[in-house]
Amino acid sequence: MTVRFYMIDRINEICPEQYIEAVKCVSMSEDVFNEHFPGFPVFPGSLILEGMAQMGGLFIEFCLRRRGLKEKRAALTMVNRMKYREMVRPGDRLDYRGTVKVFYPDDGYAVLMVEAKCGEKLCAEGELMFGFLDVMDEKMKHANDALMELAFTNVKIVE
Amino acid sequence: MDVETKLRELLLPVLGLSSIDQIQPDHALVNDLGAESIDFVEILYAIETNFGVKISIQEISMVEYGAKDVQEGVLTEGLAEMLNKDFDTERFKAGQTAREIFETFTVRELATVVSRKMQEQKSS
Repeated sequence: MTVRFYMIDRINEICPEQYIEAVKCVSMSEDVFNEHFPGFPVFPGSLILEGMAQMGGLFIEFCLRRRGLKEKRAALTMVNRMKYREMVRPGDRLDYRGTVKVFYPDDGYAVLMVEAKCGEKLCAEGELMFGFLDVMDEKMKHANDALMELAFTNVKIVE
Repeated sequence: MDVETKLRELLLPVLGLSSIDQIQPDHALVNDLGAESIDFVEILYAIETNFGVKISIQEISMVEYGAKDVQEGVLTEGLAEMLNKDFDTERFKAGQTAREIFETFTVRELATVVSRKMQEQKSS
């Protein structure tokens, strides 16, 4: 059985090579709250980062595919100035947004400014860098196609 | 601070080193300092954000030079001479491959590329 570790629930909107918006709904039934922390549930900053990195990676690969670079993977290579500003609690809906700072398909990297908001409240922000890797084999290609279809079906694409 | 010294400081976190003395100007990024291909994207980005100039991977990987004058995958006399002149050195020789040059590309040579780009930008 394949276990996936999705840290975003839905991608709402993308504007290729410009921005992406996604949502993560934080539920009290998530395993992480058993230990983080008993009697005082706080959604870990590391998982907010993971969600924004998943969103960013999918977005970059989507943009690469549109340029005909279907066999590149976006790998998180650097996390810059990630700042956590507010605690995230069960019941919160996190709106993630990633905005392209640079996107260089020829040089093999991109940088996104990312932020996580709960309503008007800024909970986390930072900068993520992705390097592009040629690591696709047939099995990975197949799994990646399925993931991209799952992630981007019914997503609003702003041109 | 000159470009070379600032560049050595920028390379510290990318290469996971702690002292600037570990990065000498004549160290080769790949062969001496262990830079991997994925490190180069960080290096290029650090250069862009700190020096305000965009350098492409082709400029560092010698593809640009290589495309100009490589016969059967090795440097010709003419290209070696041009590289020696551009980088004020005598280390480039006919017969070297573009890969060899990339693997022996030094911190000082990278600083030269950055300085040249900065000057080009200023004069334009």
